[in-house]
This record gives sequence, C-alpha cells and structure tokens, in this order.
Amino acid sequence: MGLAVLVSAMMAGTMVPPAAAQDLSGEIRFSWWGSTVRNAKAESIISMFEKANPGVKVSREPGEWGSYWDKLTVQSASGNQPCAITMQSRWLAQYADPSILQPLDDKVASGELDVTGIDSAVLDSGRGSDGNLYFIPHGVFYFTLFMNKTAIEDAGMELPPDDWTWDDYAQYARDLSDKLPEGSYAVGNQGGAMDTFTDWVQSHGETLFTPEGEVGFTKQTVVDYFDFWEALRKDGVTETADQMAEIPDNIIDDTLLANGKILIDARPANQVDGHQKVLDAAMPGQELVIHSYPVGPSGTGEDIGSNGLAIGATCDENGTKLTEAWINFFTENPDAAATYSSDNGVVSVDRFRTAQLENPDTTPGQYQAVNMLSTVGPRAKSAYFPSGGYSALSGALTSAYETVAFEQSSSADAADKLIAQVKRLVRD
Amino acid sequence: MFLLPWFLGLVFITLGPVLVSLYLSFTRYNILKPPRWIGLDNYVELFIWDPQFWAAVRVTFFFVGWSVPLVLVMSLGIAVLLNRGLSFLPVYRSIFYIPSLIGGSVAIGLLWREVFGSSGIVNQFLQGFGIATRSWVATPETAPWTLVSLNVWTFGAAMVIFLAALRQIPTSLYEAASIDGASAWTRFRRITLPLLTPVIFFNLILQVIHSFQAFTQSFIVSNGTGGPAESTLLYTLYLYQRAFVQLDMGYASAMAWVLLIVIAVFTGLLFWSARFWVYYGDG
Repeated sequence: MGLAVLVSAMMAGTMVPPAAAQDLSGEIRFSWWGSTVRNAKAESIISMFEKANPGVKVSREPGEWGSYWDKLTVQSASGNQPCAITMQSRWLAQYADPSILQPLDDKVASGELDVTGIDSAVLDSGRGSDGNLYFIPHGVFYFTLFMNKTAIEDAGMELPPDDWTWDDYAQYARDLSDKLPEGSYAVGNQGGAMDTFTDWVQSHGETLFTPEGEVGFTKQTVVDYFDFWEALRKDGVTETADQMAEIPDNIIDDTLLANGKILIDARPANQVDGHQKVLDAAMPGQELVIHSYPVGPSGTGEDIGSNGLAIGATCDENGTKLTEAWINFFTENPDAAATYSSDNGVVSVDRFRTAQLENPDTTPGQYQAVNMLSTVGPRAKSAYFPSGGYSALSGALTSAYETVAFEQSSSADAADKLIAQVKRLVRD
Repeated sequence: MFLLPWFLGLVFITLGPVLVSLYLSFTRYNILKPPRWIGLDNYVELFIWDPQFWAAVRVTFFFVGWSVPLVLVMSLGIAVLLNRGLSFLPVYRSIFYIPSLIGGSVAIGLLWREVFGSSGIVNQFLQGFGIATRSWVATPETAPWTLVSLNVWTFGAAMVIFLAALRQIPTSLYEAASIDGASAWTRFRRITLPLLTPVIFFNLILQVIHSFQAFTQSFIVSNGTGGPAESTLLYTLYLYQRAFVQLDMGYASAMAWVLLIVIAVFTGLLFWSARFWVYYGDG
C-alpha cells in the first residue's frame, strides 16, 4: 500500500509539467525572425504555452531576418530588449555581454533551465568568448552539398563516395561536366561563398578567426581556394562569373541548382525541401540528395551553428522566471518540438530527432537533414566569429573573388586585399 | 514666438543629431557600447588605409560625372521638343515626369535588375539581332552604366522646370531673330540657351547634390553588396554598410561629414563659376 502511494506520487510528480507547477503569471516579450510558415508555428506553440500557464501572456515580436539584428541592437542599446530573444551563434559575439544577455550557466546547473538531450558541443555553441553560456540552442544548422541524383545518373555517373578529397571533387566535377549539355554546369561556383570557404579553411587545419578575434587563416589558403575555383570556372565546369554574381543564393526559386541547371552546389541542409519543391516544377522527376563535403589534408572541415533562446539582461525577476519556463517549454516539450518540426535548424534535443525520423509525416528532405546531423554533428568544428566578423568576412570574400573571376586581379592580390579588409572591418 | 515650433524642430530634430554625428565621427561607436574618443583616427583611416573608400569615391564620381550632364541634356532636349506647341502637351509632360516620381523607389530598382539581367528584355532585344549577350547588372564594366541610365531615366523633374522656363522667354525675341534670318539652331544657341542659364544653373546644383546622395538604386540593383567587384559601391552605400552592417557608427559619421564637405565644395565651385556663364538679364 505504502509503496503504491509512493509510486503513484512519483508518477504524478513526473506527469505534472514543471512550468504549470510553479503557478506563473505575468507578461513577457518574445522576439524571433522568420517567414510566415515559422510565424504560424511560433504562434501555435505560444498558444499551447499560454494554455498550459493561464496566467501568462507572451507578447509576440516577429521579425524579418535582415532587420531583426538592427532592431535587437537598437533595443539593446536602449535597454529595451525583450525577455525572450532568439539568438544565433554567428551573431552572438555582438551581444555576448552580461549587460545585454543574462549568463545562463547557473540556471542550467540549478535545473531552472532544462538542457536534457542537447549535445555538449551544440550547447557550447551558445557560449560567448568570455566562456559564459548566453543562449539555449534549439536548432542546429550546417552546410552540406546538394546533389541532383537523377541528373547525375542520367549523365552516366554514380554519386561520389563519402570520403572524397577536394582533388577528387574537382576531378569528379570535370568528368561530370564533360557529359552535360550546353547551359548545364556540374557544380556551382563557391569561390565567393562563405560556407564552403569555412569548410575549406577548417579542412586545411586553420580557423576563420582566432579566439582573440584575429584573422586565423593564411594568405596561401585563400590563394589556393581562389585558384581551385578559377580552374573549374575557366573550363566551364561551373557557371560563368556574371551568372555567379547575378543570382543570389538566398532566393531559392532563382538558383540554378533548384532549376536543374547546376547539379552540385553547397547549401544549408534544412533547405533540401525548399529546393526540391522548385526542382519538381522545373524538372519533374529529378531528386535532390545531400552529400558530405570533401575531406582536406586535416580531415573534415564542416562548420556547425545553432539558433536558440536567450534572456535579456534587463528582464526583471518575474520576467526571468517566465522566460525560463518559456525556454524550457519551447526546447523540451514534445508537442512544441513536433509543431516546430526543426523549422530553424535540426532540433537539438536527441529524443526529438529520433521522433522525427520515426514520424511518417517527415518529408524526405527533413529526414536527410536530421539523419546526416548524426554524422556531421560529432565531427563538426563550430567556427568562431568575433563581433562583426561574419558580415565582414563574407562581404570581403565575395568581393575579392569577384575581382578574380572578372579577371581584374590575381588570386594573390585578391587574397591580400581580403585579409587587409577583414582586419580593418573587425575592430572593437 | 510663432517661430518656436520651427525653432524647436531645428534644434532637436536637425541640429542636435548633426552635432552628435560630428562628435561621433571622432569616436569608435558600435551602438551597444558607449562611444570612445579616438581623435582623428577615423579620418586618417578613411584617407590613407581604406581602399574601399577610394573605390566608392571612384564609383561615385563616375556616377555623378556621367549622370548629371546626361540628365541636363536629356531634360533640356525633351523640354525644347515639347515646347513646340504640341497638342496634348500636359499628357506628354505627365508621362515624362512619372519616372522621376518613382525612379528612386525599391520597385524600380528591382525592375531594373530584371530589365538588365541575363534574361531581361534588353538581352531579348539584342538576341533578336544575334548580338551576344550577358548580364548587364552583374558585369563590373557595365553595372555602373545601368545605375547611370536609371538616374538619367528620371529626368522628368528637371524637364518640367526647363519647360516652365522656356515658356517665360518672350516670343518677340524669336520673331525678331527669324526676321533677321537666324536658323533654328542659331535661335536656340543665341536666345534660348543664354536666357535659360539661370535655370540650367539651378538644375545643375540640384542634380549634383541629388546624385552625390544616390543610394536606393545601387542598394537594390546590387542586393546591397555594391558588387560585382565593388563596381556599384556608391559612397552612400558604403556608408550604409559601415553603419548598419558593421555597426561602425563613428566611422560612418566621419564618412557622412566628408560627403557633406565634398558636396559643399562642389556647390561652392559651381556658384563661383556661375558668374562666368549664368546670364541674369542685367547686362
């Protein structure tokens, strides 16, 4: 009898959601970026949270990616940032200061914030250069190669092996290019693209930035990178320089990859479905698969980043408590995770990844993105960016490679210019 | 007393921020941390260490140097044509004026990208003649010209001013000249142009100031990058990048002050030169 009571009490204890048990009340502001799809998902998760905590109201502050960071910066400068702030590892350095965001280590240690099932490497991507944890990652993003499997096989080739090198990559691209008709290209030119450059640098044993915020790669690495892509471009293996400069990667409908004109290109893994949808319309029957990057002399070089939730430093005690409950709900509640469905990066909590893989409603693209993270996640090296580092390097890289591709300067001069420009732009 | 609202507006909305930006131009300021005084460092870096600054200066002078004369010639030419007693003049005048209302808008910037893109109508037209084509907005040699052409296309505002001025010229002058056997060109050269010089001067000043400050076109046409290869990096776009992408408000403030001084110098030069070529009818 006594045992039964104890057991049922324990059962009851585990059944009651921790948030509801605290009897919370009040209002917090929650800001995020995203499209209408994500806004709808966020809306329904907030409704679930408010239903579970009747005294709590979450004020919605949705935003668009480009203006999100400007807005957060201005809010932070005036001490008016929301309590619950969506944060990204690449942009964290700007805000990683206890006067802007609350350090979270103590809350994790005391159990006020629940990080069950989040890989420690992923959790660490929420740390600033001062070592403090500033946000709880809920989604993991990484870049990978998209391959138009159908078109490659139609050209009489097989998909490459997983353990290929950059030289193999170039050779494979040339072989494929020989079999393609005019106007189709084997690979997309990544000479000015930040994510493949990151992979190149890290697979050659260097880093983009040192922890002190200095440029971490050498001139020779940049020269080799530019030469690698120039050789392919000049032989017509990639698209032309003006096509490369004209078509932005972020508008999926316009990309040559999604329109079946480029067979291999680098993209964030969570965009498979988006590209597949456009490809279905442009070239019915063709299938995109994801494939790992080549291996460099120092092994793999994949970068991994995360999106998550932070707490504003100006949030008062009650607001902080509400925000903790909201972060726990958003990150660890199975219904919330199922609703969000890895919308902003593959879900960081391992049991939700398993659930997504087992869910018959999961799309083929999502399945691949979730599945491949188990390969990429453990070996990835999360690139560090100092304040302003990401925008400075990505802009300088694109511009420098364009001067090479339009034959205005040599790889060596462009590499010098790139490094000098980043050094000038990244300063405190 | 009646001036008080205006005066308060001037002090708090215009003068205050202007003076603050002058102060900020001597600091390092990223919005999140308080400004830190660094003296003339921003200006030194601008002029000595920043090749992007000089690239932006080159692109901007190219843009101003071509688009200002082209706008003036175009608007004066069309105004003279329209002034020849055309029927439906108000209709034509409105049609030519419309581009200057919408030319600075984001929508037109996007349209320009499409028109001069690799599959835009310009290329479709050229392909009809079998001419090899390329993307005009994404080739460094041609991309600045697409910006110039967009600016020239908005000649309507200058044209309306010219048209009004043309109507002020007494017809008796032309009649007298015709009787003396002056050709149409001579009448234009000896009567129209001299009497128009005050208005040409006015339009010239407006266009120079306007062109130095052009921003939207290059921001939209290049997706905010100033590319390809910095060929469309107008000064204001580079200023924007430093201010709102790199959050380098001190540096951007210094750039804004340099631009102000350059525009002031050019305007001053034009006023100085006016005494040699502008005719105010007083002998």
